[in-house]
Amino acid sequence: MEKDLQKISDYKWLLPRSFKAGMRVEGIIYGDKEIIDKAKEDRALEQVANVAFLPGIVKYSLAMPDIHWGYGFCIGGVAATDIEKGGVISPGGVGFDINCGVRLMRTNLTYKDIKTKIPSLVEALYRNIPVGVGSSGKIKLNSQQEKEVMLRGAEWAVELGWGVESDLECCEERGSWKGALPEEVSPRAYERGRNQLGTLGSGNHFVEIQEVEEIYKPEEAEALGIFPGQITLMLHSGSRGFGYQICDDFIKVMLEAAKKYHIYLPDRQLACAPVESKEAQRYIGAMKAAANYAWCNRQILMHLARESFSQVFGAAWSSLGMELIYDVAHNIAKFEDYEIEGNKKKLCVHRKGATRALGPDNTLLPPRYRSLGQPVIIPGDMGTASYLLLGTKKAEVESFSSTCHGAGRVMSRHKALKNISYNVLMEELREKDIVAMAKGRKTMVEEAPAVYKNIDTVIETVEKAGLSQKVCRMRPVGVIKG
Amino acid sequence: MRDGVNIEIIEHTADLGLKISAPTLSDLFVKAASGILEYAVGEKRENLLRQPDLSIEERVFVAEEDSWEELFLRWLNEQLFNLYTYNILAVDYSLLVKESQKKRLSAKTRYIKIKPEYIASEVKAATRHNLKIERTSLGFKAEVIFDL
Repeated sequence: MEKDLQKISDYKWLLPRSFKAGMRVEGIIYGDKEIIDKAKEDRALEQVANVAFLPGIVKYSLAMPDIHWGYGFCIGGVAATDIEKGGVISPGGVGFDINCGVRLMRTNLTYKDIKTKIPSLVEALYRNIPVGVGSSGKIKLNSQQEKEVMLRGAEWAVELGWGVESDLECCEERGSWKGALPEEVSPRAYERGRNQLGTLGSGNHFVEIQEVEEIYKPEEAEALGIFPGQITLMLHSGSRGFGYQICDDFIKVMLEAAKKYHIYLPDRQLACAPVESKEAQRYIGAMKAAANYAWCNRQILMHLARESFSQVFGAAWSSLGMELIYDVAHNIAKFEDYEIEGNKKKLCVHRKGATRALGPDNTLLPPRYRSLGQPVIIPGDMGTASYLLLGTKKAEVESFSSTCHGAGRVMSRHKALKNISYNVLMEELREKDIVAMAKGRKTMVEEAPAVYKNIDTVIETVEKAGLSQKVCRMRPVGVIKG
Repeated sequence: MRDGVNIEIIEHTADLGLKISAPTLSDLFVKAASGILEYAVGEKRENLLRQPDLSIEERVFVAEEDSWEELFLRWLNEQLFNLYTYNILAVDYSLLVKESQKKRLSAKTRYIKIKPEYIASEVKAATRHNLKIERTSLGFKAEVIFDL
């Protein structure tokens, strides 16, 4: 079947409807030949085709260059549905970790300032931030407080002193999405969410201290407060068990809904319902509650990181210039306006392992970024690099303002555990002057640099395809993981 | 566990897949649960069972679904929920599966309480992607992908 994939350009490939009978639209995959060859090795292309079955899907089923086999949607998958034309929402297209995302903070410190303090900083982060699987934070919520988190997200955290008002301006939806429906959240989700706020989790979640290594767009970098040799802090986490439970609860609801609305599902994980249906509206209310939980979680984690720096430097975090640049979501469905065939349409845009990348002048952007475009934060792996980019106007036309969300895995966790030695990995990190601390050796090995694609190639693809423009590259100097 | 019960890993780029075969549905359900829980707690499982102050509790789980696949998924997600929410690890199972109008599972499971730091990996949920249970000449086989 792979022979049907057609090259449009060096960075863009077409998956025709003939790939699988029943596709409503074609697929578009962004990647160079190496990325495409890798995508052919697992079931990611079939997943791009399956998503093209969704009722109301507009233009294309898309995959970003970090494409790899997921469940339902491929990772790196983007699909927009036309709400007026019976377009659907699929919890599987959002994923279990609802509103998982990344935030990036700048500092006024340089690598020289912190070089000898990196071990202390990593230890302080590790001490202050609950990491790992069974981690429960210092915050124990009662049901009323949990409802507040669901309704108000990061705003709730800021009000309680875990941050400042300007942090909110630098989050999508100001970190507080209106329309959450706590009454649609199951008692099991309440239970899972109670002790997990302010915890990082495990797997690919991390906190990283980074040094700005290379700047590609000096003017834009300056506007973002970025300079060479600067220390930044990036963190990656989501809605924890609270979001997983909501996804699980609603896939079951959507399976029934799919039967009711006579929707054919090539993969049951794509269970869905028309956005305007009762079932979808219930899910959207619960999804927004989980999204707010995730923003609140990242807000608290960022506060704990600020406190860690403050302890090590014996100075207020504000005097260290620790300001949030932006917070991006990469597992979410959003309701956005696009021009389709000359008409303005409200679309439901699923981004499953993909990042929103709004171009300049978009009114959804906070005033400080309106002329620049949206800051796009793309982590690589713990041994290589991460990038800060800006969204483009071209992405609005090409990819429903979407770009990649990371490097994308190429090696399974099982293979990583068989082939990668923990001791060798730690030695390699030490040789690169990277200080790493993790709760478990297993997580470190499963997340080793070798399990990911080359982040530089992935970033080059999104830039060449016009989906976002790179501002700077940051190298890791300190890492904590679950 | 009876003879003929087998479990192997399905290579999956991002997540984890298990392929299980067993002579009976009960064995299939038990092996899948113990398999994913072993992944979650890693090699520490045996040490956990040797804890001197072992706290044991028994829980009953009863569920009905239209298909074996849905019942299987619900059972696995119940075990994950218990592990990550209450830090209790299923170690001994007594299962009864029955087919009447619906597929029914009654399970009495013994759990041990573990310290959260003993959990090595996070498994978010069992998914419906490529989920299948099939009859074979030797009994049953199942395939399931977990989101990690």
